[in-house]
Amino acid sequence: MSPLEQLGLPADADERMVKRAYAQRLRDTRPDSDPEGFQRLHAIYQAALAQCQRQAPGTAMVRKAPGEPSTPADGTPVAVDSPPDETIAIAFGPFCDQIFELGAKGDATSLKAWLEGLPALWSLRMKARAGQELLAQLHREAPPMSPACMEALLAFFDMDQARPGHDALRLQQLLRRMQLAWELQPAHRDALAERMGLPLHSGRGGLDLHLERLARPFGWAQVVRIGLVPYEASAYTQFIQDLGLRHPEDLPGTCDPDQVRFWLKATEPGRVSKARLQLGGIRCAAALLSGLLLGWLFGSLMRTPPDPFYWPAFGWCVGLSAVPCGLWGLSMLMLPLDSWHAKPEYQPVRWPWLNLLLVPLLCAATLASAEAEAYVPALGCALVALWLAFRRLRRRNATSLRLNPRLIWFGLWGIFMLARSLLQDTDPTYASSAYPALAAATAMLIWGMDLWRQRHGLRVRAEMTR
Amino acid sequence: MIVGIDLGTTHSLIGCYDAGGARLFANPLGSLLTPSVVAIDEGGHVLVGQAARDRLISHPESSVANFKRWMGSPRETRLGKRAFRPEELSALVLRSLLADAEAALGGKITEAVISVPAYFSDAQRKATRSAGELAGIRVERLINEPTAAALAYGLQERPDGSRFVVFDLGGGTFDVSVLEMFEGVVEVHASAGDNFLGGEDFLDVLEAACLGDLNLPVDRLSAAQRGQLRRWLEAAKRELSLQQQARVTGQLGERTVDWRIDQERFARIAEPLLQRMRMPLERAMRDARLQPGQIDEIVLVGGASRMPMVTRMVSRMFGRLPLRHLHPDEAIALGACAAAGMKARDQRLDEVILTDVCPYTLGTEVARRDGDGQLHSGFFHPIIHRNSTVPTSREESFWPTHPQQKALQLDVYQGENPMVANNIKLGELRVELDPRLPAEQNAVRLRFTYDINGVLQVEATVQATGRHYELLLERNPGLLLDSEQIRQRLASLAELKIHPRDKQENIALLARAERLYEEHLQARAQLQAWIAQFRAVVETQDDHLIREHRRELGLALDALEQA
Repeated sequence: MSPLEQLGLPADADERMVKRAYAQRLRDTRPDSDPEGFQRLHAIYQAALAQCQRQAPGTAMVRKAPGEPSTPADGTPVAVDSPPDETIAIAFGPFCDQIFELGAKGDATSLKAWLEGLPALWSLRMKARAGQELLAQLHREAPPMSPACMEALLAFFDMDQARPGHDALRLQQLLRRMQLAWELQPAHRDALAERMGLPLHSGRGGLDLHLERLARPFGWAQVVRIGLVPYEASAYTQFIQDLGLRHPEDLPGTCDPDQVRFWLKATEPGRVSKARLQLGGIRCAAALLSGLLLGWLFGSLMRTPPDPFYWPAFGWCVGLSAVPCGLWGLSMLMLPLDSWHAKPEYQPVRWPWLNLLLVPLLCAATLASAEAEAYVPALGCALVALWLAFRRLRRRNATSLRLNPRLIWFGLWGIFMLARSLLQDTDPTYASSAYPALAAATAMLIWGMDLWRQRHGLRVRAEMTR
Repeated sequence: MIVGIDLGTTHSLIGCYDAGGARLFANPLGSLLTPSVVAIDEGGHVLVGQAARDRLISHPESSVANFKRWMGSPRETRLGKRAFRPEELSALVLRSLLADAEAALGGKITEAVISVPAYFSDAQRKATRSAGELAGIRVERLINEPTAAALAYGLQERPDGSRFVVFDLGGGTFDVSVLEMFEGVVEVHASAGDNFLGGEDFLDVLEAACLGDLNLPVDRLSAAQRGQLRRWLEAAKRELSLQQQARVTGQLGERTVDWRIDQERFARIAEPLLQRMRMPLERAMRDARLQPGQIDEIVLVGGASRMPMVTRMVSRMFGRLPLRHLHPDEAIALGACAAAGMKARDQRLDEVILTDVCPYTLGTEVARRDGDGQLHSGFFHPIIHRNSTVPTSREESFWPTHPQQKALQLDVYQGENPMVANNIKLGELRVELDPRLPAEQNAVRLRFTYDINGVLQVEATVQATGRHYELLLERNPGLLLDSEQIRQRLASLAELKIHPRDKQENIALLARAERLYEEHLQARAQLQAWIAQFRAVVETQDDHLIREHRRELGLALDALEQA
């Protein structure tokens, strides 16, 4: 039933008729004596008015949705109905440019005074349109502007309002971009250093250096230079994050987006990305290369005359450099496995059954290998199962379960030491099969704890009922 | 009989709706406007109105004005031996008004409709209700001031099918409302305002300019001298509404004051105040979703709207001229009377129905997820948008941000800023959830209901369990009086002594003479003699003699003041 019909009106009723019908019905449903009835009536009335306006958009009054962008193109002068003796017009393009120029100077008082003094903006119509135009232009350009100026601008045009059609999050992101663009200008870097909590004098130098690097186009030479200095890469990322550049689209024009994206990706914890592999690859290559070089150097220096080369020194050097590379490679393999395995139960995963039963499977493999007297693979399997189970429990129950990782590792260490003291006097073959079994049992225990906590929302359950 | 009361910052009025339409009652001095000033005299009697206003100059330590601005705050004022809250001071004014009405109607009054600024907050509204209770009446309804003015205008002009803006610049508050009248319906589209902007602020600006020109720091003036200067400047302000120039002359302690100001300079120094009026007007028009061209009339009410610069500003903003001044001082009181008549279902008013709006936005705090899935907290999520027609009831669903969340904290806020940190927190509701359910099945339905008297009710229902929660907005502990405190204060206010009504004219005259004694150094001996003589006459209790003498003294004082 259309709202017009509900008011007992024909489909081509006009606004006057709607109002008359509403007024008549209102006598029986007064807002003070029948609040619910009035609310229903009022809703129908609003809907009927909206319908009338849709049917006759030209003749009815213009009810514009708030926040709807205005149509005129940049720079078109628009005349306003004003007291008959004067016609005020404003060109939006130059108007916005002027605001940006004043805003970039950072003098909020003069910006406010200038805006308040503009005769054209006294007109309600003009000001509403100027405000919309300005906001659109700000979103397009994100010009550098000091926070005080932005505040003055928002207050003057009453833009920062909890109203339908206003996207507060988007505006906040815009403000952050504009503030950053302003702070990155050489004249305002002290303000930036202050915001980032850097000491004023010593901090400025590092700030300028970092910013200068950010402005350079992205290149491998730079990755090598930063990546090979210990801690430099993480410090660099920290700097980027402190700037507030969490989103590459927030970037002011002076920064190279590839650069920022690369460093944010490469140092993101818990995730394997191309950038991270590239950075790690460079580091491994450098480590292996230096290992080879040192090995060759020591090998040649330490040779004893009959032999042309002292191979053990070479082996040690290469081995020492290869071990961290191997560990890194292993962690790169384990990380994706861990993030798949420890995904919260409410998120879908591939192979949900395998995800659920991976730890028991590994434990079974442990027991089978121990039975076959292959103790090293058994222990390896058990340790992987233990690690996976532990990570799963911790990451999936982070909000409800406060676990101190150190305490738990100590606990595991304690179990191990206890087992060792108990197994000291027993048969060595029995002992070597007992360790993997013990680790597997602990893993199963931890896995069971997680299962118990998640018992209500298991995704395999939902799958089965479906 | 229900009376209508305009409880203003500077003046208050009372009236009712009877056979002859809206009718206002005069105070014992014969004036419809009773200054909202309270004083305690040497004998511990309470004085309200003109006498108290005169005593602001002769006895500033035991007199107080402009207390409407403190409504809803716990601020206390010491008068004589006792400290008064703003509610109590308002109650004293109400009592004096009610005495006038009772004298005119010849019966006890128990119910009233009181007007409040549209932009009054919940706390300020509750304080106004408490003031009514302290004055011994039940406040049937609080009506928004611009709505009242519109009602007065609408009933007088019957402008059917028209939209208009009511611009109300009173002594201490500023309100704008956009309304429409059709077929006997008065529909408020939007209200906006500023609770701390009014004629008094223009006076402050004038005072600052004058003291600056005279090179006189304000702390060098005694309270009495300052009150005297403000009285002169008030007169100058009124003069500037009619003429190009105004002059202030007189003796201020040791100094002779001779200060001139023209309209142009006044407009320049008052510019920041005019700028502050732009925002409420813009907001009201935007919320009403009307273009200036769709407004048929702009109605100016409130004494301060007489200033030419205010008229000029309004016509600049609307881009046109037709403005109408409607008894600036009385319009709101007349509208409050009409509202009282509607409340009593007066036959001739039965065809008028008023729909009003909620002047501010009410909502809750939410966290938002950005494009990268990161959570940002502290956002204000409106549920009842400002300028929604009341009564209104809106419902929305909210979900926990994390799985396994055990509870949902729903904070209720009032304000216009998209970040809750800049809004006013009204209360909070903690809803228990079932942590075993996935987040998307753990919805909580939150319902806000805002009734015609501005009372907000918040309800929450957990969708999965059906558990129901309700929030009682017991807010601002300490800021407002609870019913027990009201009972106590009512008893203690009843102990205050009030001069009998028929003596009030004498007292007001004496207060005026005493004020002139402070103001006129040359005529002090003369005034002292007059005061002593009049006191002696009052002692005789001979009504005829007193009336005769009162008339003579009044004329003499008039002559002195005009000299």
